Amino acid sequence: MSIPFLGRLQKNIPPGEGHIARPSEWGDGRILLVGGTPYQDNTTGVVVAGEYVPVGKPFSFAEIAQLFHQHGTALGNHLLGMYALAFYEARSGKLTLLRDRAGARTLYYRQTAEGAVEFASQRHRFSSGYQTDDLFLPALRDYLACAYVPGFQTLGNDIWELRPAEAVVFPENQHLTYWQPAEGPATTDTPMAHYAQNLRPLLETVVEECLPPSGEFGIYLSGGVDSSLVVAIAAKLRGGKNIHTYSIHFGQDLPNELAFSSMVAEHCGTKHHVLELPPQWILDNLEKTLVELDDPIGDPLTVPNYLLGQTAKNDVGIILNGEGGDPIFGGPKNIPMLLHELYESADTRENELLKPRIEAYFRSYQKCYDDLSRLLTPEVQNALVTVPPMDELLLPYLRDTAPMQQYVNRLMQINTIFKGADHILTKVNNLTSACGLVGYSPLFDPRIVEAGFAVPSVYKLSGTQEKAVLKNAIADLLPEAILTRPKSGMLVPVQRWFRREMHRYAKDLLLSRRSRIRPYLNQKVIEEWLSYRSPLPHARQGIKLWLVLTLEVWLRVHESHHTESPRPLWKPR
Amino acid sequence: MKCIHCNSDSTLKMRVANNYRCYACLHPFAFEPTTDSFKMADGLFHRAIQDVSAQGTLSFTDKQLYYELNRRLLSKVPYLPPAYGWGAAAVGVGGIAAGIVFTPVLIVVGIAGAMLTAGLGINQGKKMPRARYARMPFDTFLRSYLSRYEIVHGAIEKLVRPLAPRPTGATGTMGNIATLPPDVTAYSFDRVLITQDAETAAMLVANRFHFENNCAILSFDRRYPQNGLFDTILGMLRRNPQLMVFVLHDASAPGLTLYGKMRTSEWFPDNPIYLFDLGLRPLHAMKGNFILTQEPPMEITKQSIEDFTKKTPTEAQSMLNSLTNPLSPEALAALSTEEQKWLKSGHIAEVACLRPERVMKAVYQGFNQAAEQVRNGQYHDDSYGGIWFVDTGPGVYYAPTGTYTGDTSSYDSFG
Repeated sequence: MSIPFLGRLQKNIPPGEGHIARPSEWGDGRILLVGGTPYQDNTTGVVVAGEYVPVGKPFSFAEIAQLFHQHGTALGNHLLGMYALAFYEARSGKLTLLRDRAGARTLYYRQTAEGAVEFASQRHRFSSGYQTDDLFLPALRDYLACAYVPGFQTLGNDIWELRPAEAVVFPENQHLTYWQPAEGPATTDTPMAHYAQNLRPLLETVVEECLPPSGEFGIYLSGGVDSSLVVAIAAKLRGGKNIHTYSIHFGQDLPNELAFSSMVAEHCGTKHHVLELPPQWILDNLEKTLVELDDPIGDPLTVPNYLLGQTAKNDVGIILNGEGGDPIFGGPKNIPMLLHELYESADTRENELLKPRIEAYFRSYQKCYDDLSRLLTPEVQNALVTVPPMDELLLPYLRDTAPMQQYVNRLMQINTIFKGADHILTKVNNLTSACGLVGYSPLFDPRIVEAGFAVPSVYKLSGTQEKAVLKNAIADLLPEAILTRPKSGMLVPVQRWFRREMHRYAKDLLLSRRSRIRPYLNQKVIEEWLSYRSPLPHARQGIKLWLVLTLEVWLRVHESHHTESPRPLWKPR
Repeated sequence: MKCIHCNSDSTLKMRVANNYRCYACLHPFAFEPTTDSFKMADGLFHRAIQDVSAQGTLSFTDKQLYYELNRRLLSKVPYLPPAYGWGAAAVGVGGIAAGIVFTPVLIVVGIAGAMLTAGLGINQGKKMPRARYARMPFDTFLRSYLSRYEIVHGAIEKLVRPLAPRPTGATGTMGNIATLPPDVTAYSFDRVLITQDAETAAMLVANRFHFENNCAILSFDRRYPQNGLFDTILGMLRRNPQLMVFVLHDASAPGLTLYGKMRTSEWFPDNPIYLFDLGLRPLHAMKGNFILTQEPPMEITKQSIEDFTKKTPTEAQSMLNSLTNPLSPEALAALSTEEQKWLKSGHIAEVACLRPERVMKAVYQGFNQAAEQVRNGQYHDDSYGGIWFVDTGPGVYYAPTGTYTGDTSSYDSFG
């Protein structure tokens, strides 16, 4: 039930007339679903189709159709797992698109000139390819600042993406958010241990629900706390001998996390695999990886993720990861935002803090936010004057009336909704599926997200600990060295790659007259990065070069006449 | 003289005729080099701003601009290294002597050779690092130049304004206390940079050094940050038993005391902290291309105190020590005899003498070095100052040590 699907709803279908049509009926005023196996409930008249990977109790499409009939879009609150679903109600002629709470599956739609709605779980399944000379400029700007395309937009000029926990109803084009996790108290009347104790059984449940009833499975193990705790819980539940763990490094002479990942693998008795990823191998697989992404994701772990999947599929069919711990429980990437808040409040009045706060958030990604004014060509900048500024994306989550009141919780919510759904989950899920694996991110389970927001903010970034309550919850399962290890994140030697092995490749591709980014980006700035000239010690040219290189290659493999781009499931006549 | 707004070149005659305005855009000039005692010109001042701010990208303090300007004023004074001077003299005298004895043509050859040697020497002298003294007093810069420039050309955008002085005897909070939610102050950072003065700290924060490098920044004089945040952040830092503390200070007697104060009750009495001294030390000023703030005062000796105060030799010695050695014996022991002598003769080399980009690169490198020391178990608490940054030329303070600490980028785990 996780086969990508594509559908179309013609304009003005009279109620009672829509039905599941064969591909040859495209265009005759019916709803059409291709891919997956649509189900029609004869008693209610609800048609359901889509991608659905259950977690916990699996539902059949018949049951899902019944649930939809019963609860409407609130069905999302009752259905666990990863899904992108389309419901067609024959009696009312309504089409409802629905994306899961965490955003583990993607769902795109567009409205054609004739007024039809096309929808697909993968953007590249739409019939036409990408017009690389006609990108949606706000999405391009936001990609450069964030390394992913945040929000409902895509790089395609007329293609939109559903937000996590969102339903869109056609023909009204009505948007509904069916789920909003509640914020817990800000006070510390209840000790951290209490929250940790409540969290622990929940962690075990969500991990258990992702595991096969018997046999072997895999877990990506970086050596950080999050993936380590998933391994530790899985080992407790199933025994280490059933687990294959996978770690990467980029060369023996570079700093890596292997000491930590090996320690966890040994501690839990798993079958541990270590993959060395030399830069040439990364480049060789860049195109294959980017073909699988519906919008570019400019972090250098895309190809490693794909290669890990290729390795893991030789041993297992199910793979788990530890994604989610940082965005939900307060990872180290939020520390600059605390520093910003502290220092800014020294110099700025309370009512003037919002704009700098939003700017700081984009800056905290450490991508090209501060370079935009030089990097984008004057033509692009002129065109962007008339579109909403980037601030509007984050404004609803940071202003006084935001759903979360605690500062750290506000950051967590933005991290979960944007970075979680648009970047992390899209990346790992697309690249795991591309290898024929079923991938699970148990820490992104909506029950964990709810539990995370119920914990007072002060128990997340607390004392010298990040994710304090999460560490507290699993303290007995992991070696002390893992819990107290210096925060690091996966270290990718991009700065070195573009000085050495990737320099020529990047130069040829990015500075060429025929490069696809040329109409949008100022090549002089890229040339400066390639020469590593900057007055700043933290110039991070490598990260930025990887970001634009990803964009360039992504545009090449997704443009309409590219021969290697994936063939659409079906092309209309 | 060129107009900094429209780049039109005005001769003195044109300037006078246009009432000291640019003939093309009529914008007034701030300075008139022909009558100015430092031959200050608008373009010179403007270029100093551009250079100190890395072409308008970085914030800087007034003192950093002051030193930048002095560097430019000093660069106009030719410097002939002694070796070349003696060489030129020898060639010249030898040529003249040979000319008298043999043929007069050699006189011309000798003079030409002497001029050539001197020219080469002056050229070489430009490249030689040497400590020099500022030509313009700081007060004069503030009063007569900076303010005049801003009146005529508008406020300088990237200039970090001086912070309010700390009231004498005050120990509490400065300014109104900012209210912060508890979750913003629940965390404790891994490292803190203590600068000697508030303006350096404000400059680093304005350049987002704290944000980019995950470090708190406080000034030793407790003037930065203001609005009660100094105490808030200090309190947060005290909760981290593994705190890494970096001190950045002038090469001066007061500057060199910072390191020793970090474990006192005013700072981090209870944290078993990792403590690193990033400099400056006198050696930097002695070897590097520094501008010193003042002419060294007449040296105070035991004898001069005895003569002047009529104290006993022992009392005079003790007074001399207190006057010239506010440093602890450990701090003094970390300095070479030459450095101690340099310090005792009243020299001061300020951090502000370095451009913002060089300060940031130095601290950044210091952070990396320190992290490596701690990681490799090389940190020794018994040595005074874990790290001194070494000036090896523009922008380079440390040679990479083989591993790529600063050469990787951290990403969220892949799961």
